Amino acid sequence: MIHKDTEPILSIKGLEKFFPVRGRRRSRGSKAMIKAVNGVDLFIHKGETLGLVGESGCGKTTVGRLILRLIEPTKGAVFFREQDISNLLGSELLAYRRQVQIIFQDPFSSLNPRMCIGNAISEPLISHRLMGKEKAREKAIELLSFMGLSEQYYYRYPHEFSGGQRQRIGIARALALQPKLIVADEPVSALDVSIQAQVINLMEEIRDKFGITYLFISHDLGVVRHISDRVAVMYLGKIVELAETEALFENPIHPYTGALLSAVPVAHPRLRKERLLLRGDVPSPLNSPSGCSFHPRCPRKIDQCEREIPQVEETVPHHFVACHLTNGP
Amino acid sequence: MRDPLLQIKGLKTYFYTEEGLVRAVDGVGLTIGKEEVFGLVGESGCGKTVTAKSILRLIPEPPGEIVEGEILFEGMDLLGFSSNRLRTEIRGNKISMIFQDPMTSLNPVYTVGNQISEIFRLHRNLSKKEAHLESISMLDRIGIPSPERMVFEYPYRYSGGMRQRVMIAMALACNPSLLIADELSTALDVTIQAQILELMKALKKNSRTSILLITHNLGVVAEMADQVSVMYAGNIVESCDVETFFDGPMHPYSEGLLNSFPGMARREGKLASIPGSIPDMVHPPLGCRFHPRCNKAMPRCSRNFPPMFDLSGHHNVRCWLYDT
Repeated sequence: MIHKDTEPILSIKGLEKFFPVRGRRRSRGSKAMIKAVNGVDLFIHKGETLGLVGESGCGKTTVGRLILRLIEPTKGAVFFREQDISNLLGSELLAYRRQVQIIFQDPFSSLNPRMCIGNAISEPLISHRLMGKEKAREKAIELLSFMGLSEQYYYRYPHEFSGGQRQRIGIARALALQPKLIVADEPVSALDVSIQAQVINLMEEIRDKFGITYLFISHDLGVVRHISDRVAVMYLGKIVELAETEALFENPIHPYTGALLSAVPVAHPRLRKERLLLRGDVPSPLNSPSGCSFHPRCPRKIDQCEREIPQVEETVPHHFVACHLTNGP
Repeated sequence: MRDPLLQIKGLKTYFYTEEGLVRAVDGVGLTIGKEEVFGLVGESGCGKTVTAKSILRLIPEPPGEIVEGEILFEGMDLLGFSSNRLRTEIRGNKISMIFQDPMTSLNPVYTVGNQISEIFRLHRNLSKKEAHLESISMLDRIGIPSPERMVFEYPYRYSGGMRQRVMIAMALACNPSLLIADELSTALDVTIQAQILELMKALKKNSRTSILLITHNLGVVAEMADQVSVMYAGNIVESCDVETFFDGPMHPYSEGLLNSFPGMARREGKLASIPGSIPDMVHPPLGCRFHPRCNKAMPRCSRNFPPMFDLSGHHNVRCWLYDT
């Protein structure tokens, strides 16, 4: 494990984000809310890659967007190097965003189709007033070549590139400002397997060369296991387990993590097995279950689970779990 | 080797586009045995879906055309069938297909019950009432909770996993001898994907259906398939049984594909990746189509298109490395 004891570069405390649902009212006056993020505490060490996994709709993308302050939290705060970012304005917010960047999931819609890719990469440099046009152009060419794309591509448009190339352009754009932290939101899930590996290797190279910290959001457990130092598992807006990668994959403690790992297809036909099957779908975050939100699908549910919300506890050193089975009475 | 159910020989399906001729499927041959699960693997654009659609003759003409080849199903050449005969005898009855995207393959303005009953009414001539009851029991079999109520609901009330189950139910309604499953579980979360795979395994046990499983997810192949074929740029480059494949594929592309699949193995060093990207199908590379990305390419690879080499038993590889 690298940088275990360094101070966190980013910490999240009691973060909540509720989205009001239009047109649906539970009772008079109170609007129905989708609890996308429902009390998340998290810290990311400098230089590490923290994987954030969970099924679709569990709130992992919302966490990423809250970190960038692309949306405002309902409650709670995000601290970047001990500075609360929720009240930053104008130039301070710009300065923050120079340090924290995002790579989006869909390489097909995250690039402006009318902007040549060279300009897409140099735009952040110009709009943050870091350098003039000429200098920015040189920098963009340098980044392109680092991504394995030659200078002649500078004036081409996004539609001329394949998915993998577009994702590399997205990475180059995120790197242009030399950020400290990159939120990578499903950066490879839209790509073919052989291209996925190229992009993952590139991201690892960048991490080692520029000392970047990643929050790597993905639903692909294989990819997360490969790239992450620590992994957090989210379910219905809450973190249910967080541990160092190998500890989590070898010894999952939360029943949900266990089921998630068991659901991954085997790597070899001789390993075919009976699996721990979760029944049903993820409940709607519109009316999440009482108590532990996992209890309706949990194979090891006890009475307490229906009534009380389990708190996150450090069950084993560096291994955090929110489950009544392992938490002390 | 099991008795063959479907044999495809030298299939060529081309598309005439504005950019030029796209040889989407260019000489594909494969044999699916009775009660076998056959995995067809490859990346997007390699021609796997076009191969599947060619079997059912669902290729839009124009721009597409099946130029050459034979598709022998239970000994009959489907390419010689009239479209009427194909529709009444084959599609949905003997061969059925589950399409890629469960979100868009159900009709949003009919109830799910309506859509399942239609199949029973058309193919098995059941009365409205019988078809309705049959639909309910079908929904029950695929694990939809309270089927008597859900049968009257519209697709939007179903989650992604439930819709995929409905698609499976509809495909299996007439006990087909071949089921084509195109990217069965790709759009789904892992826990739901696992449910679907287990459901397929259970249904497989109780019927004698062969399955053509089209996927880019090698995990799904490891989980389900008996035989594997790997496609690249319109050709099959390797065919063998599933254990041989996962023990060590012989074609450099299959090798690269297997190595770049992160799987669930412990992390170690860099992921192996295949350099470059899939070729432009209007101007595919001369010789072996994989040679520009291949780390074992030899001079002849860029000149001559390799034939299938039979290594041992039923292990075929389209690569000059195995020319002896």
